[in-house]
Amino acid sequence: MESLEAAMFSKHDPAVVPVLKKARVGIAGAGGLGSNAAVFLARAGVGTLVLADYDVVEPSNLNRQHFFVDQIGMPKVEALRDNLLRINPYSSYEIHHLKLHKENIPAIYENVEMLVEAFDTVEMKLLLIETWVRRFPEKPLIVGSGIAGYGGNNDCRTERIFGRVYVCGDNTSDAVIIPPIAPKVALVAALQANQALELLLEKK
Amino acid sequence: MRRKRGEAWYAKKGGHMSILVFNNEEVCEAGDVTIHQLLISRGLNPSAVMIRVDGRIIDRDSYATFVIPAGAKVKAYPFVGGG
Repeated sequence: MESLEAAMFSKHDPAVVPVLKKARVGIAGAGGLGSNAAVFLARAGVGTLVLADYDVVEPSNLNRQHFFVDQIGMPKVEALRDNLLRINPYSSYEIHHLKLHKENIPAIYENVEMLVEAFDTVEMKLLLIETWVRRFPEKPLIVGSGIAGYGGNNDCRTERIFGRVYVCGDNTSDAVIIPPIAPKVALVAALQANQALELLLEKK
Repeated sequence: MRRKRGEAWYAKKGGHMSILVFNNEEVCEAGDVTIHQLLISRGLNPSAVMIRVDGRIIDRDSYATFVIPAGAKVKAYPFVGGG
């Protein structure tokens, strides 16, 4: 009898399944971009996700982040791991409940093939890019910038800005000024996850 | 200030100006300015922009003291918050 795991990915190109299964992708931040990107990548069958975030689930997160009412108060990485295990129990989810900074980023993400940047503040985005490009210039970094508000579907795009750094989003709507809402946040998270798949599968 | 293309070409050939690339448009700037001064003069917020000078990422802590060398190619990458 076919296993549940095989059945779950029976619609995929058979050549894709093992490549994704052995892939290791890091996600820095487990808020709007991070939780949604993680769901997409787990659903696609990426075998290992390394997740880090210091925050806990709050009621105001639920308008855009992939958490549930009964998870309010839980560390986001723990709630996210629980949700990912319900979606795809055949992947591994390595979680770190801590604040990422210049010193711990290289050690936590040393064994991933690429990193999805999902931080809230510009300051942290820039810090991550600087740290990543210096330490892992050969590994892709997929940054989110411009996720706020609603509408503007066709302003959202992916651009390789230099080396292996990609930026997804409209790069204009600032969440400090415009409140972020579920569809556009998930749209940009999907661009990041889809870019990750493209890079993972380009040498298939 | 946006200059004529001829001057951009001159700067690329090693003239005494640097080139700022922002949104894929090239803009010549007089030399002897810091990154901070250059960004302010272009109406950009230094704390939300990554800068590469001749391909090297510059630490944000040094924007106020980093004087752009003559003929350098400066690329500015503005980001917005939200994640």
